[in-house]
Amino acid sequence: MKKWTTTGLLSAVLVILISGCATSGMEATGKPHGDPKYAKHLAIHNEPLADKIIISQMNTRVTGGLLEVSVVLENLTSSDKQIQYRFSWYGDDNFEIEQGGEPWTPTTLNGKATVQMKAVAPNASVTTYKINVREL
Amino acid sequence: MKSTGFLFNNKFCNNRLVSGKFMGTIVISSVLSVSLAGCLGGSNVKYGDATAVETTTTDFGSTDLQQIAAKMVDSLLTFPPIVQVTNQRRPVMFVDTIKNKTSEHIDTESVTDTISNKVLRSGKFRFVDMTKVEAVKKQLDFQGDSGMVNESTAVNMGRQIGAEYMMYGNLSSIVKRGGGDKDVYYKFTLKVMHLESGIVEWSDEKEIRKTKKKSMFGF
Repeated sequence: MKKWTTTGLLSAVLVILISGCATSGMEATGKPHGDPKYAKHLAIHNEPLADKIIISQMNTRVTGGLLEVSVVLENLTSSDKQIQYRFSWYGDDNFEIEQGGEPWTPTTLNGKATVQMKAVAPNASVTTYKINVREL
Repeated sequence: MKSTGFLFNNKFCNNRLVSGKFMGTIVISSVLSVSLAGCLGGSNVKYGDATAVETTTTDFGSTDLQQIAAKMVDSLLTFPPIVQVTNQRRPVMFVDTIKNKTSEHIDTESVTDTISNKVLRSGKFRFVDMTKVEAVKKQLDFQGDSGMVNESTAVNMGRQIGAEYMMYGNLSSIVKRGGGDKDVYYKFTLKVMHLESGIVEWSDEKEIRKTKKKSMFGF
């Protein structure tokens, strides 16, 4: 009995050690759901988030020649989601403009709630955009 | 001739009472050591995403710098009076220092570099670099006075464009500790002044709150 308890304890320690060292799982790009008109602007980088977060509203305008974007993300589930998002910008030829210029921004998307994200294009050559979302 | 290993095996492993427990402990210890060595030892160098969210400590970090720069540039470039001024021309600006009023050592020049870089690349403003005035003067003196440069190709003195606007600001923080918990509040304020009139044409601030809770095991 004592032997089994010792073995069990050691196994538990082993599992904790190994899980503590393991890296998080591979990222898979999920297929965003919701209105297709909006969905093409959303890139979800974690499969489990793909059917849980949608763009519920999207507005754009040009201010001083720069594209200004306002996106409302909606959490369809009742649990809070710790996410990070980043805008990426594209020109007429679908080339990415100022690649990697925007930082990932952390935010909390509460259950059944929405959060608004705003950004301004880095220069006047931007014509379209994407909002990238992944787990924090 | 018998090896030491053989002697060791003979001495200990032939004793059934000892060998059962002892060998079990050795196996488990070995597995533990291997798993620990895998975690702690060896090289673990890898490249990461420079724009990823970084939460190593509550100290001012790359994510804070990037968030501040993004917010400030977006705000400046969409502020109606600035949009009006930059609609037809690209005014010249110079960046003064950002005062670091926090208790940390923060390279505020790096923050202004990121901001001025983004503003310049937007095509809305041009900049004069005050940190290079001495180097430029030295080069112009060399071209004009050394006799080594063809006069027809030498850059003329006194033709530089004066800055119309000045960018400056502050970074302050409030740090509070309670028990093992820590709360840090950063406030970054940035302003743009029209030099001729002394009017502050634009100003904005970015607030950041970072908290650190003591972990369950007190580490």
